[in-house]
Amino acid sequence: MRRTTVLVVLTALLLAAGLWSGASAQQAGRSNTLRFVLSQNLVTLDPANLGFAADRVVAQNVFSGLVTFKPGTAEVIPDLATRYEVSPDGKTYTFYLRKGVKFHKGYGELTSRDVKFTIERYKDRTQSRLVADYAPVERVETPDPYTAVFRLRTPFAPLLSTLGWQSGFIMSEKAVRELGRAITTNPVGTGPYVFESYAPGNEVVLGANRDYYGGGPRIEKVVLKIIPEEMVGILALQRGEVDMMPLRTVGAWKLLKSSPRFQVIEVPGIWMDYVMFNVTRPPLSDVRVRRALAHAVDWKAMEEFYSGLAELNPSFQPKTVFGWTKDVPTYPTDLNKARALLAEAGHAGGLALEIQSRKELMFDQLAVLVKDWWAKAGVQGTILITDAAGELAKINPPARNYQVHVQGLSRLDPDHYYAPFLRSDSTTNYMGYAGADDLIDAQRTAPDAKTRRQVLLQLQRKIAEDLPVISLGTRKSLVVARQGVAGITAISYAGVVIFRTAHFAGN
Amino acid sequence: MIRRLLRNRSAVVGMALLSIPMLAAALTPVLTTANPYTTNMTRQLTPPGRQHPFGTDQFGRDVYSRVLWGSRTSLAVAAASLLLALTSGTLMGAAAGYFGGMVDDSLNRVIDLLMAFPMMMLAIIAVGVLGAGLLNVIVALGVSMLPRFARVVRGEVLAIKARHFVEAARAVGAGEGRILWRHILPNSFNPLIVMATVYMPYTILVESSLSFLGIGVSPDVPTWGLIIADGRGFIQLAPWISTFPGIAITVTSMGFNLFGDGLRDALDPRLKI
Amino acid sequence: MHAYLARRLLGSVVTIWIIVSASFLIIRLAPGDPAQIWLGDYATPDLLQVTRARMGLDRPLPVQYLTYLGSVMRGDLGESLRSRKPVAGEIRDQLPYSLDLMVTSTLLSVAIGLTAGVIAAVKRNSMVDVLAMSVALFFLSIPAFWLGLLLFILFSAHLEWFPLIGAGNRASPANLAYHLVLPTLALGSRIGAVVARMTRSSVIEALSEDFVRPARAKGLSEPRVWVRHALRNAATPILSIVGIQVNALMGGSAVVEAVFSRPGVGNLLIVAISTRDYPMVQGAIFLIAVGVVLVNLLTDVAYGLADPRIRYA
Repeated sequence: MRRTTVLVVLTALLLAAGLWSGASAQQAGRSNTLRFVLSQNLVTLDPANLGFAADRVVAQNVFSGLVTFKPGTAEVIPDLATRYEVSPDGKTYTFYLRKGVKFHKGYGELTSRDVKFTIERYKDRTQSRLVADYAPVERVETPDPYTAVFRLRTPFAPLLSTLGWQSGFIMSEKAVRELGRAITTNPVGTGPYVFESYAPGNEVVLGANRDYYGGGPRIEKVVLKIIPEEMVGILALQRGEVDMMPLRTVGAWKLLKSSPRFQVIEVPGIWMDYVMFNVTRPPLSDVRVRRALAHAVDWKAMEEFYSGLAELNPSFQPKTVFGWTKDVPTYPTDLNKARALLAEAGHAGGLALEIQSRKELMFDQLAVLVKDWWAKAGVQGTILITDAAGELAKINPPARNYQVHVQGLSRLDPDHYYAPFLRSDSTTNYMGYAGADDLIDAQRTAPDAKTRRQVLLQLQRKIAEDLPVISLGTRKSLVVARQGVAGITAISYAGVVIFRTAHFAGN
Repeated sequence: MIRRLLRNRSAVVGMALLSIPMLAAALTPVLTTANPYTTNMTRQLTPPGRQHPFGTDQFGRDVYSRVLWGSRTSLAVAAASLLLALTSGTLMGAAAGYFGGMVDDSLNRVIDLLMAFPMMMLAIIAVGVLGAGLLNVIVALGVSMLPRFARVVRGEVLAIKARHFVEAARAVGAGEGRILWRHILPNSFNPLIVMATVYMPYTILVESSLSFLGIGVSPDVPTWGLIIADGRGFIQLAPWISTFPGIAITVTSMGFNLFGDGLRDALDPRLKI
Repeated sequence: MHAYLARRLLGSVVTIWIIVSASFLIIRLAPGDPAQIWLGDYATPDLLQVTRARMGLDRPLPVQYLTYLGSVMRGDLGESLRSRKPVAGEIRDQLPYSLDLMVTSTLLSVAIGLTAGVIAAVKRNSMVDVLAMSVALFFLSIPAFWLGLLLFILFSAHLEWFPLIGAGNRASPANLAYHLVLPTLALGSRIGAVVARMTRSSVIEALSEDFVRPARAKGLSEPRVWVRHALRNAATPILSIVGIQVNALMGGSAVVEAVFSRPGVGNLLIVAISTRDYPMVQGAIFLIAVGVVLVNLLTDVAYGLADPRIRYA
């Protein structure tokens, strides 16, 4: 009994001490530190394997590429290369590098050798996930330390946007050779911030790169707090434990969009929400059924659900991405037409469909809505939930063991939408669609922008007509910050912010 | 026995508490008018009021009818998984205890293996492997409770086997199966019933935790855990979404806990679970 | 005692071996190919093949199993398929956070549960008893995640007494404790309730037994009677329930970690399962199994210390 009392008293004391020290810790030390919310742990910061959401935020600020995008658009602008030339046949790209660019942590000056090394690493299947992105690049030549010449097998229109976004961050050959596998959590780049530390489940710390060629950033330190639950992130923001966070869901957006204490930075996004069909099996192999399902979508309710977080978009690609048009066949809400089309296809008595989804990024919520709307047209949906891994195992060709599937995509070049998902021979053609290979290839090898745009228009119309997939909308890229943080640059990739331009008001 | 139960204060209070979710589940179609699945975006996030006593969720679905229909799903999932654990656990435990030897050794290994995982972890792993969905959640919960039942039954069978009436039955030439079925199992009935009652609230808690972690049932099926999880993202805008199912779970498991206490006192006071 | 311990240890090793094997098999039964998940939208047939080889998944299953078993016996848990870092290291990074939470939850709940249980037993049927048992019933019944959510909203968000995020600074015990308060309450309250209920009924039973009366007759003061006799006799059932509950804690911690956005092994395991990171799943399950087996062993040994009547045969 006595021992118990002692224990209780001790614990109480410890808690009280904690309370006090925690309170005092709140006051101290955040002069020029920006705190941002990261939605998950890092997976890898190796640019050749990049693509996971949280990694993107770090990589975008630690690395730089030969070219980059004007924030909020898909327009390519020079970065490490001060200028570049494309040969008339579209098969030679010459990049003139900026002089005196220093890698972080004393890894020396960036030269064309690093460019060559990086691209070769991207092409190495034992090192890289992004091999397909660089397949048309035959070799990189380095006539002098500040010139890199890319020789292509065929013209490849997406090369610049690939270099600027999809991958293309230039690595230090010396750092990769010295650090080996450690580069996945100790990246060495040339960007405005230097990677300082990473505590899994806790935080990532970035420090300002005073030698940054674009001028040193104003914020001294960026602390990326790992908070998986958006609701918790919002509370932390409201209480001043973080300064800024990406907005991902409707609930968060509704809560914060009109709050006077916060500012929401809104940038046109590239995230597309899709309802994909497995067109290789009946009943969805019949285009009339797919069109009926599109007519059964309640577009007004869809817009209300998004409530400004996303915009309806009838095309397969986002508006921001090159060549977009809204001039495609559309399917306005019309339950009678939906029923008529179903009857025509031999499903007058109704239809049962399985809708595959996962509890991530609001996919499950979209599935709930779609299922409910379709029910009004006599289509009985059943929502099947798996995790991402289980989903991939199901939708993957050639098995394609599913009927309907709610999916999202986020890319900056049109080719990165069409080629992997709609080309008949692609390993990731989940829909099994095979009607536009010629157009996909034509936009890819188009010698100039005008021709490419022309092909893309046709391609978008063709997809909307054949309807292997219903495009629901494009989500905006949204960042919310407390008042007092200025100069925030968000880019179209949701959740990614360029910290270099940010500063605290009056600082 | 029933009289003893009725004299027990815990049991009576427990039954009174339990009558709420039980009645709600039984009379759901009468008590609700709104379809728990129907979305209505113009009515999203309506606070509790006359038309929607518990308010609406982010899809404009009526939370009241979702909680009531949820009582059916949640109670059914709990009952079904308990039944699964009870039957398979009983078979396993009885076989192990009765036959002994190799059978006992190998079955005991399986029980040990399953017992080495916390129930929740086992359920998380099982749902991870089987995939989400109502049936898989039931199987996962059943498997995670199975060893507990098997262990108790085995113990009971061992104790009863040593008693005289079994020997007597064997002496008059009754077969092994008959002895097990007619003499031994009925005698381990009481602890099993008590255990099932005691585990019922825990099952509801684990099921709702799974749904909460996002690895439970489909997102449109109303279960209490799922409604709480739905409401988590709207805890500031619409706290009512998660409040009502939270209360429902708490009241129901309080009822089962109290009833279980009473049942144990009445049936098998020496049982410690 | 020694022979008993040796036998128990051997049994534990066998159990752990079975768990290692089972986890190896079970995670491979889950649909999904780690190589494909890693490659995602970048997958090509050629890349898939290379990646599978890199992950060691192209070899026959028995070979994979024996290799894994061999490395586990050498104390090597392998390398994560995703981060390509040693599994042991990744777990070591997360383990302290889980241990912190489990230790504080156990200590706090046992301390409070014991106290409340003894008081309730001694003052049986008084207002104090009814109150204590009602509170215990409430905490036994409320789901940990909902309790966590309520605590979080009330104390972190509205009253701002406790931090919202993070697990605290490991260098400062006070800061660590500050971050642990709410998760501890959310996780520990259930066990506290179970311990209180069990303590109460065990102590009542012990107080009613015959040997208490002579102790009283000898003129021992009331508190002495409770502690010397009643509590000691009640120790065995209480210990066993604590042992069981500590196991349950490991499961509950995954949920509480999720509610409070805390790092920890539970979170690690959930992510590893969903990404089919085989070595990581196996490593985490191995660790949990070792933990549970160890706790069981300790509880059994503690039985003997608490209750001399138990003989290790």
